[in-house]
Amino acid sequence: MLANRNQAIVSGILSLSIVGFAGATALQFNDRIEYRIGNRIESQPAWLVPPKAEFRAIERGYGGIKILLSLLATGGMITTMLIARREGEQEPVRQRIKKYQEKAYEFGFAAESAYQMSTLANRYKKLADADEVAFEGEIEAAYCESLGIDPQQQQQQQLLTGTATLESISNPGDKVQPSAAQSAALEPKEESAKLPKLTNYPAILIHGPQGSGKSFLAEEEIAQRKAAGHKVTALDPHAGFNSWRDCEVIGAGMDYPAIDAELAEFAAEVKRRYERIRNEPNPTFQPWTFVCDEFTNWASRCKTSGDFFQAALSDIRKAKMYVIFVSHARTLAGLGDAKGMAATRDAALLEIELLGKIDPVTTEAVPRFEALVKLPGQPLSDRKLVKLVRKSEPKNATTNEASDAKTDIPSNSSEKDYTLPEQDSGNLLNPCGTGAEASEGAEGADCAEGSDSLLNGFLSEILADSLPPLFSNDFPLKSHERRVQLAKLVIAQNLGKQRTIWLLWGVRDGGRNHKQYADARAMLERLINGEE
Amino acid sequence: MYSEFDASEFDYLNSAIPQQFEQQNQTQTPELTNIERFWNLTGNWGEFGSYFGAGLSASLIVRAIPAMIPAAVILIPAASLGLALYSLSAEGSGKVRSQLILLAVGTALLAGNWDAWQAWIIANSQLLILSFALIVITVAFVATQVWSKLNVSE
Repeated sequence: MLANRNQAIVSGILSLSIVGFAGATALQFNDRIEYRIGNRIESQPAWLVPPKAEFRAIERGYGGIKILLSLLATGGMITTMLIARREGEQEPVRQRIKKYQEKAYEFGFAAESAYQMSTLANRYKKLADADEVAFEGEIEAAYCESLGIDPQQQQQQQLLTGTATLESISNPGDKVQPSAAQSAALEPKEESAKLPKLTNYPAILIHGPQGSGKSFLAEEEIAQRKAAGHKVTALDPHAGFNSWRDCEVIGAGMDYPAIDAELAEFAAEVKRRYERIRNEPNPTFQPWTFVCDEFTNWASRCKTSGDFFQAALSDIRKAKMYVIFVSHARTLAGLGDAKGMAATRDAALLEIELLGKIDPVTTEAVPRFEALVKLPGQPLSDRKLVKLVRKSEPKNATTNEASDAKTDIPSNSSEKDYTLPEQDSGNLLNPCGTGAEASEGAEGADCAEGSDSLLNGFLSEILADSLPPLFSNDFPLKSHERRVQLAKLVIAQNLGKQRTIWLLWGVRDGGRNHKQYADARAMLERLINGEE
Repeated sequence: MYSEFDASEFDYLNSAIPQQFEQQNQTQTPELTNIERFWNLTGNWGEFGSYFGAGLSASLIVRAIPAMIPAAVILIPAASLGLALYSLSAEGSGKVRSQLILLAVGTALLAGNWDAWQAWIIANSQLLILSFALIVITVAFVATQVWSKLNVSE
């Protein structure tokens, strides 16, 4: 098997050269004269023909061809020698580099394994802490009993029993309302980095793979801006009927010439505003936001897209013009083919990369509710991971509409004919209506976690692999007792030990996970035997 | 399945002096690999072919320009003699290379001009036969004399 391409080349040249030498050697150089002398017929070069010979014929020599073949073959041999000598010098170096690469790979693998073990150890420590908290709960219960109070009765008051409904036990006064400005459908969790206020940035790029929620985030941002008095124009070649509600929509039906014309109008408006800034002391403008959806497709179809992108990054801030780009990529080719604009893009754009994942059940792309945010001027390596939480309601969540009435979510948000793919499945992060995620700290007493329907909702999500392991720190249900109840529901599905352990603790059998897997199996046995 | 990971094999990566890291790896790979053998072999044959081709081309060009034949007849044996003497005195790669040149050029002059040698032999066949006979007779005479002197009966 050939180790590299030069082997084939050198072998070919060497073979051709040998053939050339064979030809140059075998052919005769001089003309030969065939003659008769006496009774004999002979053939000799001209200078050996006897004077008295009788000429019969002439055989042509191949001197010129011999010289040509010889020179070509010599060149081939010299080439072969040079390539082979050079490769012979480089080969040991290549092999050393390859060995270093293999070592580096092994070292990286070791580091990755160590990291995973460390992460697992951390998770088990937290699990142990959770057990400790549960133990304290038992002590508290014993203390209640010693005082003559039935702790079970106390707890059941907080849970759904019999025919009680969610509305009948929930106290409206307990609900925590979100702050006024936080009515977007997606917003950061409190414990992670926060999404900056987007209206502070004149140019925003929302990008990410298909199904990651780009258009959804853009629409929610538009709703906020319209509420703040912005004029909004959506440039969307793929706009559907009634999409971009209450916005002027340009370019629907892949009408790229109309988009091109609107881009020219944008440039003209910017110019008009700057003329007013020059001529008037304190001009006021209505803020105007352009939303450029499917911007990836514009490069080859809108001549002015590159100029528009450049203008959006440099000229619009004082003119109260705003642009939201929605694209699949942050490359310049995907941004209107704005060649030479990389530095400006990095310095001027607020970039939000939405992350997606594949739903294991439907195999469709769904949002991960996480985004990487790069502020203008920040290096790409300093992007912050922002966890996003859905706050708007799915279109079929009619029971929640009443409790949402007091929030700042625009009234049309629940009427839109789009939803994030996960919205219909259990509504886990907002089980009790608005404010559930804000009252996470008070979950020990909340109404939601006690309901069977909630547990069933969690169960379906767990079985669909769309939640972290049940006993992990990231699992949304924090109460240890509820987790145990949920674990028993998972066990009752009879999924087999390996699958059950994976869903509960996120550990698979084999390799370096053996110890963790054995521990998990022991815990599973305890759960099966009714211990908690 | 997975084998237990033994970190001790990476201890050398922690060495304080970079050269230690280099040296350890160099000493671990002293043997030639097949691809290195291939390049050495190809390079040697390429070098032989280069000398062979140079000798062949030069001799054919001289044959094509008859005015150069006297000069070649003087220069080629002289250069060959010089190279032969050098190969006797030189050491190492110089010795091997000069022997390689002599072998390659000699082969090229004989094999590439076989028709000229053939014609020369035919043209001078009588002289060659006479010379050969004289050599045989001389050698036989000397040999018998030496033999007879060595075997004097007591």
